[in-house]
Amino acid sequence: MKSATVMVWVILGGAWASEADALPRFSARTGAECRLCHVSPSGGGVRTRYGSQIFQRLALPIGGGEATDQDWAFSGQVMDGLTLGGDLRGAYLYSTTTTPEGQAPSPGSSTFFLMQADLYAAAHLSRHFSIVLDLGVYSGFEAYLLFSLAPDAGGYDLHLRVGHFQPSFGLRDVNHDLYTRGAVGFGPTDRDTGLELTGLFGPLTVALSLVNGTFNDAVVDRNGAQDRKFEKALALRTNLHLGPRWLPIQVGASIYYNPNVDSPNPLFTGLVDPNSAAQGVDELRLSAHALVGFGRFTYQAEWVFVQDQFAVGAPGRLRGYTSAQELGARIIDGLDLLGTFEFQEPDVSLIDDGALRFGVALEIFPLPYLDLRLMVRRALYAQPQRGDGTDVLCFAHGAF
Amino acid sequence: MRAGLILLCLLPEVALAAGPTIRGRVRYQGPAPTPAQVDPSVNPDVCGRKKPILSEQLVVGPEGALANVAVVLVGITERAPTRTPAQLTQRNCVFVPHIQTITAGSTIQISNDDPVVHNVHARLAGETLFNLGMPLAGTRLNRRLDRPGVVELSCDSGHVWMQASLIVVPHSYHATTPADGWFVIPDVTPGRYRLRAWHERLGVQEVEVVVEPERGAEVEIVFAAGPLLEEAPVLSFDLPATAVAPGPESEGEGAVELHPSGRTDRWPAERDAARAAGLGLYRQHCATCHGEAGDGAGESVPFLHDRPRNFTRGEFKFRSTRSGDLPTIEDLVRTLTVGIPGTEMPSFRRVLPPRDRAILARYVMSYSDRFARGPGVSIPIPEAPPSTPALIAQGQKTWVRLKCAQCHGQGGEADGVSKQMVDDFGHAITAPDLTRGIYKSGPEPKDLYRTLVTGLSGTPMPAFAELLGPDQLWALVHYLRSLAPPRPVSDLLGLP
Repeated sequence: MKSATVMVWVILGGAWASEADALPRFSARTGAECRLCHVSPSGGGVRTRYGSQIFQRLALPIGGGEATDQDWAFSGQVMDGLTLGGDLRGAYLYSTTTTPEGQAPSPGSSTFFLMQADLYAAAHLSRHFSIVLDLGVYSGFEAYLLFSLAPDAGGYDLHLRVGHFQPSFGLRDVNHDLYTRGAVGFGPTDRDTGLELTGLFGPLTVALSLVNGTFNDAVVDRNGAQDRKFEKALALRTNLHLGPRWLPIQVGASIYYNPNVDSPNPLFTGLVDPNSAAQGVDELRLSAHALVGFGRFTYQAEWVFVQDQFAVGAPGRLRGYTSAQELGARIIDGLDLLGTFEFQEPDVSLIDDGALRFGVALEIFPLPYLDLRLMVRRALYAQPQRGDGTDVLCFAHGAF
Repeated sequence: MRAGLILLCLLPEVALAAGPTIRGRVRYQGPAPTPAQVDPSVNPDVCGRKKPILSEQLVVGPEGALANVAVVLVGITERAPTRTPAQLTQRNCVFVPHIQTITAGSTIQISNDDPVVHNVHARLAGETLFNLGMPLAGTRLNRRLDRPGVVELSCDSGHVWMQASLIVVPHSYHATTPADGWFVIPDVTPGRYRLRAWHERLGVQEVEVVVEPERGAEVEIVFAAGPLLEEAPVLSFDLPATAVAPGPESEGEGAVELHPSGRTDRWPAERDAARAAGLGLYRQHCATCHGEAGDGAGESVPFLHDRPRNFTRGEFKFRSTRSGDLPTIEDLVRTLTVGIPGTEMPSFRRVLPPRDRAILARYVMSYSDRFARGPGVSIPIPEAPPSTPALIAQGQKTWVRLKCAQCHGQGGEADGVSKQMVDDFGHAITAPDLTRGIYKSGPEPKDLYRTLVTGLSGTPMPAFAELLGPDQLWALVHYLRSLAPPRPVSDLLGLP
């Protein structure tokens, strides 16, 4: 019974992480910066007026009839300079697991659950200064000051975030989390404290973060506290827009380096000697990502290489990598067909203990601010003790 | 209003009568520059072939005689100005004359003597008055000019060197200096006047003249050599707003509605009411792109592919009205309803009921005081004939005859001279690729018809209302639509 409960939570955790948001697809489709629809310069969280009022209401839903009254006059802008937003996902998951040989067959599981409940607020105190909050029931919280400088004739934008947030890394950002993102250490609950400078220079976006290097919503940096070292994590993310308008392409690379921490990467769970981890780990993550739009098709991919270097003891150095990819096809406006592929490998060996998950989803946007998804997904685990599984997942997502 | 009337009464009123003249000469003090020769990059087989094209920005003759100076009396009104017809010719890919003064309310005949496509794009204070396609040699069109000021003329058909100015004067006491620098202003009532001389690159000079009953007056005006202005200076006539000669509008064949700049008494109240009614809707639906101030500089602009319209200029591409006229409310509502295909301007049909779209359209109008003159009048669009091979072939002949390919490319693929064009906001602009079958003005044949008739204000696309009849226009519409072949594969892939 206990193992079955654990299995359900593992599946739920994976489901939640993988379905949180899929908005990079829209960036791939339009070739637009995340900043067009989100207040945060690296995307995610509270939406801009364009994101909420134009894109969500006018670009996403299935075509409808003539408006007869202000059915969709809703606005999250509650007053001048104050915007509210939110994401709510209610889901139903039916899951079956192929039990390993020698164990009793699993009856499967069925549950309703809340995948995401986030409330956002952004107070635009001046043209250059905002306070941004994200209160998430399951995804931790973000709270930061945002200073923006966008000279009229400068041709560039600069944004400085100071506070608690997820550093920019890879393809996806806060709430754009996949199964594999949690394994890398940038899962939904992984926020950090520090500052981040983002510059948009025409087609090039560069974000540089200096943070504590303590994920899981830790408030203060206790790493190295015993010897008062200034050991912070550094993240650098780049994103470049290429291609003609009918073939918008974005490519980018990221690096994250976090010296002397005492929490090894989740990807290596079960492979790490706790005593070795407690004496210091240097974390290195390298990522490459791509977003491509071609007519009604989109493709997004992220590859992350992870290395933990242990100060003492076995295993010395662990390496792994993950990949998350999605192919999307817009059947008609407001109806998307998606194919997803996720893979993680904790020791760079392609054949022994990796985990693969792939799925097919139909997503419909019947009304402004609402989307529904039906997904069938298959998980294959190399470790025989976990057992493969098949999920049927449905969710309703309201967002503004 | 009362103050304006008092000012009007205080201004000296000049009566038209045979009388003394103001005679004078304008000189340039400094070494005479050598006029630069223009190297025509477009239509070199015609432009500059008969004789070299020389820059006319600063033409200095013997003894410093300065040509192309507009000389006008300022601070006066005239009860019944003499309206004299004027002419402007495009010859050897040059506007002739380069500078001329014209009495407000007069009609100018514009002609094209060149066997290449020209279009006369006239702007007053940056605002398009008209943009007329003149692709055929021998074309003659008339336009009446009512609003005083410096009307700048250009040709958008790749002839970037073609520039000229018409100085529209609210009375008939004006002249332009020819090559010898001499000018005469006849029949001036004796008295003391201020005389203003305007040169497009040297600026404005003012002298005081005393016109004697018998002798008249003689003056000499000197422009000192110095750095040339990059833009033509403003010429003020020192009139109160209420003193602008209104003149009847839309009179006669070929007249265009160029209303006076005097605002109606009702406009401020109408504008304020429109703002009060539409502010909430505008902020919610439009401001993120078009800006709170309506200047097209909203917060989303850096991340958009297409530049949102600046409403404060009162220039709108998609109208049902004549070239240079303002759009109707229905025109703006249509854009809100249909959106602008191929751009990021969405359709609001699903989310805003017609009443709200009308409120927004009126709100948009409130950003430009040009609408004090009221919106323009729609040109009716006749019923479309069905497309037939014969009609398409006829349209192709019109396409060739009008030399549409000069801007749009031989096959309509936007590979003509359009790569060198700019819009009224100074931004580079290219002609659309007609083979894509995506028309910004709308997807229906009547939308293309409307574009051909009205032109697209703020862009180089001129109006052809007076060159083509409905049959020719429909034939051309069907030919244009035939340039975009069915795209089953592209449509399946959803490619733009």
